[in-house]
Amino acid sequence: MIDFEFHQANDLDHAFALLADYGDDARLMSGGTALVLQMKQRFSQPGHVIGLRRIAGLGSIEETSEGSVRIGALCTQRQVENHPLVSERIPLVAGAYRHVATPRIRNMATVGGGLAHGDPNQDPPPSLIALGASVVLSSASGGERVVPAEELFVDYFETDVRPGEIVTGLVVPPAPDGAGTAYLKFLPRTADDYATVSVAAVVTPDEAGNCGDIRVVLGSVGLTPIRATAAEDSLRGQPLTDETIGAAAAMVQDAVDPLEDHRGSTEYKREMAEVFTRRAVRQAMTNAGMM
Amino acid sequence: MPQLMNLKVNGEDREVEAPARRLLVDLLRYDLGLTGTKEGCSVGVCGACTVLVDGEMVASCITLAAAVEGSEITTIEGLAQDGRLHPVQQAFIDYGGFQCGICTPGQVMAAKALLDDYAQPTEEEIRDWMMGNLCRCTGYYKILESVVAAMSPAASQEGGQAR
Amino acid sequence: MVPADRNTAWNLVMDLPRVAPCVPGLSTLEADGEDGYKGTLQAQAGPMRVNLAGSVRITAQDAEKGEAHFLLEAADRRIGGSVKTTMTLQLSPTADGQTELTIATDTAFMGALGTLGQPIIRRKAAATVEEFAKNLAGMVGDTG
Repeated sequence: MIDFEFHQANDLDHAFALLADYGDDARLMSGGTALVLQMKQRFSQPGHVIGLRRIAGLGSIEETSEGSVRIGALCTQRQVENHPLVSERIPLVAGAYRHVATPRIRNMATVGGGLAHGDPNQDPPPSLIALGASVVLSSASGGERVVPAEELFVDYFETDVRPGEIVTGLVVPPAPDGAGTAYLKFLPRTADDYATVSVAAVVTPDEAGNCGDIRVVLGSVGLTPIRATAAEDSLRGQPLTDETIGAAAAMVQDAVDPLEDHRGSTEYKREMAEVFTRRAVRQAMTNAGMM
Repeated sequence: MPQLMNLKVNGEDREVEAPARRLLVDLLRYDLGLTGTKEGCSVGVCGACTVLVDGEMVASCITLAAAVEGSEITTIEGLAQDGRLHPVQQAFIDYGGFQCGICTPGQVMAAKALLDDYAQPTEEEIRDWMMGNLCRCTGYYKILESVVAAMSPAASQEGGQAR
Repeated sequence: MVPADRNTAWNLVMDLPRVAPCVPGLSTLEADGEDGYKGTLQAQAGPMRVNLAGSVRITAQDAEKGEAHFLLEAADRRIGGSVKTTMTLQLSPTADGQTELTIATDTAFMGALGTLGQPIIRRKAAATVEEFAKNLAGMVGDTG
């Protein structure tokens, strides 16, 4: 690891001031699980590291007046998976965070850090995007920008977090009434690995029992999480049968763009994306009581 | 950049001058001579370097010491009190929860963190929690038995004597 | 496709300092002996910011055939990795008086760049070459 200067931010204003001072040469750190590894591998070589852990007021989980769940950016991922409000209102999200690595990593890694990291292999983003969550980005002098999770991830490890901004919160609405949700993570290697393919699905039946609305979002199969819009469009308003689901899942092969790695070739991941989309939609239907 | 770091390690206030890049595992082992904590994979996967920071288990090989300045650190050396082993340590001895021993400090610290959080975890909860502590001797059944035994220290003592 | 005849296109692309602005991320380029140049290039691949310092050398050229071969070698000392690329540039006249530009590259990544993140670096490298070709076609178009 190349040496650097470490600055512990006392509060958000202090963090913004440090960011302004060191700009491009600074990296923010909360849990540090991602950044320390990047620095060890020399992928990231900041001259200054700004610690966020001591900032008060970003570690709570609350219900908003609209019935959404607001999660402070410095909540650890374990806090999220264990919080009764999360389990009750957005069980899909509790389950997605529970799939991250090991309890020890979840004890350290934070919600905000994970979002800013922008790694397309992470577990939570597909579920957050499927539920229509938004990310709160704060900047100096009280500036605030709210970005849909779907638009946060712009490229491989690149997010829409702009210079001078800090992720301060995550707002997740519950799934629509009557909807079923599912998150499937394909793990052919070890239980604590990143997914080979992951799929989050939210299925909302209409009054006739057909597909009223559907969201399907995939992780680990592209430079960002990928929403399978063509597959969703083909199912909206349709009866959900083996045929319609199978045809929609097949479309996912064209939507994904997997990088080859030790978890599988591009072709293999493409095929698994189809298989796991099919299974995730079925699981969500089961959870909605549709089958 | 060398800086002064103040930490409370196993109940004692310690002041260390170290560069900002100093990892917690290295600070414990090299600056403080607490070599009970082991380093295995160096990437936060194997669990050998597990210590508690303010009661929460962390991987000290991917934790910057500077980032946890002011925190209370508990290492394997801090578990025994007044010459008596901690119930988890005793259970690992009684039930043969180790073979070569390199992963043991991490296993014991993880098990202690588990039992601090949950008084009576189920076997499935134990397995899930200990998932991130790898044993290269693959002595997982004995480790599981040790953790189960540590839930009730009295039973552990009896079990130990019975063997 | 370049909107210029082959000679015009050839004279431009073989004038490396002139085409240098077409290379995304290239910050310096200076002559280094005959047929050679030294330069630095910045690129971002995911979490990695790569600063490559190295050289480009014209290893063979044939104006008649409109074909040139280049050898690019560069290293990032901080990350500890290097790249070696052989590039073949082919200009072929088309029936309507324009020129078709084909760039073929064969790249080897060594050290940290090689062991970590190969697929993503390859993808970024391919995107860089594509952008270069597009910029080049644009520049020839403006000139011609």
